[in-house]
Amino acid sequence: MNIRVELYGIPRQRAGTELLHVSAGRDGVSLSQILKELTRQSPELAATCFDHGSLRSGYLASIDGETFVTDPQTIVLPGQSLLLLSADVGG
Amino acid sequence: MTAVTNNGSLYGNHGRYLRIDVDSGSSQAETINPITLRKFLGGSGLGTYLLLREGVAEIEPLAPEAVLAFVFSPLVGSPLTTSAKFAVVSKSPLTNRLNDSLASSRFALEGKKTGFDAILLRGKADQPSVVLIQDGQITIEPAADLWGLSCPETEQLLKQRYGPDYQAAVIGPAGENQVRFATISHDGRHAGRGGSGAVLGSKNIKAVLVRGTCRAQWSQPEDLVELAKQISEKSFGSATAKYRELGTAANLLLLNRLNALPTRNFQQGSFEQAIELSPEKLNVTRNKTRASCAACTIGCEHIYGISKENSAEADDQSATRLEYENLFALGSLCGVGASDDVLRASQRCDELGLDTISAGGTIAFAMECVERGAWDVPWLQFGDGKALLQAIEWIGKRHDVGNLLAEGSRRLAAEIGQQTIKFAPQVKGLEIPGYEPRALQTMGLGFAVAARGADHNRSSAYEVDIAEGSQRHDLKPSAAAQAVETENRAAIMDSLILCKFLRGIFADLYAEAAEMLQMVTGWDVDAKEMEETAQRIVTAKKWFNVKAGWKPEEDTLPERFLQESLADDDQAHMSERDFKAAILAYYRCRGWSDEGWIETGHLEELGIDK
Repeated sequence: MNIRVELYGIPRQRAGTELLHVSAGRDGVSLSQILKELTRQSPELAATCFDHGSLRSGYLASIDGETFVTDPQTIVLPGQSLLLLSADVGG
Repeated sequence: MTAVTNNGSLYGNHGRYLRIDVDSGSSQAETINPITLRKFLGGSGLGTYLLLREGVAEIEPLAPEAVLAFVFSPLVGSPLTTSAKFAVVSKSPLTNRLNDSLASSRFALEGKKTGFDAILLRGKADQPSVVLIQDGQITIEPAADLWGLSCPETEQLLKQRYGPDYQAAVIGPAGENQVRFATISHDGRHAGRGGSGAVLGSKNIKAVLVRGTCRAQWSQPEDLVELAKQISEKSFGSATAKYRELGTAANLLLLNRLNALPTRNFQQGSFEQAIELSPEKLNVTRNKTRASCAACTIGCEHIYGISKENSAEADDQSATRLEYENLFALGSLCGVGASDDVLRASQRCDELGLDTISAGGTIAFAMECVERGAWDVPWLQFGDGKALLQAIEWIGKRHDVGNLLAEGSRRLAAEIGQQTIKFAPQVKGLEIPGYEPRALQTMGLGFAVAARGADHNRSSAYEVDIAEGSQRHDLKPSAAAQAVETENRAAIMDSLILCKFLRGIFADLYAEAAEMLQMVTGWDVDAKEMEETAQRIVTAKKWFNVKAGWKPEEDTLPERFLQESLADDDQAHMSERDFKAAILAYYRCRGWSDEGWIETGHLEELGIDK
């Protein structure tokens, strides 16, 4: 089953798409593993937003838009959506 | 380190303000004690102090005796990026509470060079006039021929008339007509919220022009230049990339995804046509140029072309700056997804001199009143871009129903009655910006308690909601301390004055702000003092409000937010009990009474004169 990765703001600009997918087993995968797979799919995204398996400062992930995470060990379960976004909200 | 130059003047400041009586054209230069400057910095903080000192909290905001202050800061004119800013501080005709709105660019640089840290206007000219300030020399000239001109037309004509060295802060027709959410504009930017344009209009003043030759010296110029370089370099980094590439609208689609994009007068948190208003879509369908304020290295301004009316063809002459708040307030909030209509509405607000948030908020509220049959204005329907444009035009001119809309949603609700106040989207009379309080509940707390009314720039508590570990649908008293902290940081940035878009580059704002101030002013300030200064400034604003008649029941959200879930998100529900508990926790964090009053002893502790 897939994890749906939704991209917002700069992550979307860099990846050139609004959506990517990462496959996951029943127990899910860590954020770090997801970022590794996304690096393979979009080196441009990784170059701006990731740093050695973690999110760079200024970027944030959200599981289903509810909880916000940066810890690389966070487990994302199959069927969940992972949102990647610019951390700064203001406007 | 010393805070005084060899000739006895201050570093970073002039140590005086100018009070101009526009009735007579007379003026007085008043000294500001250096200790006061250190306690209140500049911008919002110093402006609040000056209004308290002038004793105008109890005066009607549009009365001749009311005071409007243009306030600069120690950092204005320094090489620090984004520091070319000024504050406009007055009592708001929309809220009857303190209003501090900020704008950028060369008016700040030239205004400070007049040799004053602030310029205060009081009185009322006997005919439409402009005020010219060149160093300490003041001239008030008749300007009836400018009355009725838009903000950009006025600035252009003033440049022709008085030369390019003068910088002008102007009002449009909305300010002349004392629309309660009229702006003061400079170079296309606006001191936007709370109706400072109406205050200037009530004084019969179309524009204030400044030029000067008095430069404040810096205490450690070489270190300051080096620090400024470092901050500028950081400002090119990832923390500000979204502003450069997409502008402030960068989060529109994210907020839509989080059901936090206010739609159809806060009935929904997502808008089915959000993509049409997103910078991602606008970037590929329209001509776009970028710009920045004077002395800014971020460059967040994205200026989009507008199509010719009733045509898909681009109008080469027509373009407008777009901000998130304009797109939300004139787009999703009014249910309008046609980007040309929203761009044109935004442009027209800028020309007339209208705050887009309050304009959109009031119109969206009126649309819901019409939809519910509470107000008989059948053409004013959600989703109708032409109706939106007509309403804006009529507000600016106070024509027909525009005369009522020009009063803002709170007064409009009072006029319509039928308990419509329950869904008037305002706090203290100021329309709520583009962050749905039920989906971002710490932000909701920030809206409720802010001195200016519903305000994302003075609170910024959405930073708490969209952060690791947040519980954005479940407001806890523990969020109060975080809301206080975002408000304190904003108070420092608004008083220094620096652009909020820099905030992501500071690891320790208080320490880094102290370092900047040391280099500019020679003050031996540290992080602890900066934090105390922030608390003093926030409490001084509240103290102004108390003197102006503040009551505890003002610190709340409209009933809709406490009694209804969002139509499109059951989780977005705010418990009234939890909300009140969070407000109580906020007051306690501030050191105020459980009802939100400020004890006399607390004022003394903070060094605020009673």
